[in-house]
Amino acid sequence: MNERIKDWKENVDSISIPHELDQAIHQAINRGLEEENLAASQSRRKWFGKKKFHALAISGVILAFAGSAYAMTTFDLFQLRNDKGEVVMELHTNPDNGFDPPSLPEGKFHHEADEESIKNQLNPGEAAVAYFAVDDTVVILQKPFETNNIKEWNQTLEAYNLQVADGFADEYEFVSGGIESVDAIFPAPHLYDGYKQELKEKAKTSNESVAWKVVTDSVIGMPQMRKAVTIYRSTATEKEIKIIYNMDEFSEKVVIVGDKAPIIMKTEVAGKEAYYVDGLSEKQLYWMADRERGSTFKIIISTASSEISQEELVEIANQFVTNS
Amino acid sequence: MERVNHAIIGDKDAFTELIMDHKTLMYRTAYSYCGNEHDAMEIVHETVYKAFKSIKNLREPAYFKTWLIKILINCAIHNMKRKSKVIHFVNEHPIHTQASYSHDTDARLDIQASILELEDKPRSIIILKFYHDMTFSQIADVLECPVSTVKTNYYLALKKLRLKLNEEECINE
Repeated sequence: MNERIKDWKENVDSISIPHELDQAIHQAINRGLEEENLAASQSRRKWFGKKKFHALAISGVILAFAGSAYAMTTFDLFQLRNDKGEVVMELHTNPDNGFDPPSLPEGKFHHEADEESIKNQLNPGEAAVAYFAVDDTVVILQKPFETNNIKEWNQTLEAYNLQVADGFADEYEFVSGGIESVDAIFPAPHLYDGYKQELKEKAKTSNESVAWKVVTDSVIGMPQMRKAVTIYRSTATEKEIKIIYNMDEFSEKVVIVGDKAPIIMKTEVAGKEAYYVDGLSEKQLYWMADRERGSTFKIIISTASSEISQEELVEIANQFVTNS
Repeated sequence: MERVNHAIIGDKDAFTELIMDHKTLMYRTAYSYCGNEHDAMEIVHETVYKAFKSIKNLREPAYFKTWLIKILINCAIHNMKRKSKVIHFVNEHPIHTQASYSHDTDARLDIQASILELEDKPRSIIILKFYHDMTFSQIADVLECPVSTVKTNYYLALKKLRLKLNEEECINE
């Protein structure tokens, strides 16, 4: 028996490792990250109802009345405002605000294959609401849109009154543009039950485990375009930067920034107040888009390159604004 | 150890490196548990996902490997319960690159097939005992049950394996 166990052990040690294993591992980690982002996003919404937020808001108001700057900095709270004075983004250095992030429905991610199948049937950028009987869950799915054609990208951005340059500063060249809507995973709470009932019935009637339908922005309750991401690459250094337009009215009012002693510093981009953030895997600059362009976006410029300093990132942002 | 500490405080890169270091062990354990590539991949995927979500709760960095295997075994048990399907071990085994099977190979396949026929707990115990060389106490920690339960299941599993293998040998003869 011992010999046979020994043989078996050797045999297990000789099992070949499939090439796809690395991919599966990275997908699992990304899945965890996405879920964390979602939980953080949902928590941010919940956070506004918390006493602690009210205390901070009151403190902010007190400081504002005391004649502080247009965008104020109080305690560990940083606020970015539009030209109406409305807070469109808050940066916070402490992720532990005393709330419990909501958990996702159990088994939500057990139907990736069905999700992919539905996404494949959608047009780029199009969204659908889908019901999965396996875990009795309704989710929003969206087919990502990405292009490396600047003309096509600008045609897409036209709908949002946006245009981007094919390059700037004689160095950065357009690489690709894409639309992300990572937050649009679940339908808005007031719509969730209605969708569930409708699609569950549809699945039951057709005797299928999955039912779905294409939905529009207004039905989803949030815009299909959550973020428009344009990637540029330096012809000189190969460093990449991302320019991200976030929609104002739906963007978060609180951004909880990392947990590795993040740095948030007030700075300026093209004469506008901006915040530099370092502490995530990427360095980022946040500022408001120029409303003369008819947009209500805040802009994030981001780089994963550790070689780009804060000053360089601000300079790049200035050059981007000048050329846009 | 340093990487584990980094992973605990949220360093994604450190976590990824740790997982990559253990991927072979995880995959082979999963494969020996379920007997096919597809399920083994799913088990590893689920294990990595759950580990990523809960590493911040790991109190003893020195036990990272045991902690990871514990998650993996739970995922494997869950996976098999969820699917409750027939296990096709022989057809998918990677050592089938040989032109023909020797008697030894058949014997190895027999024992693997016999392990796959065991119930969840005894199967886990056999894999942890023989493949991971864990002590009864360590296995008890992983399976969250008393050492006495581990021992009882272990001896029962061995008895079943012996019986099964003897039966097959008789048939082969």
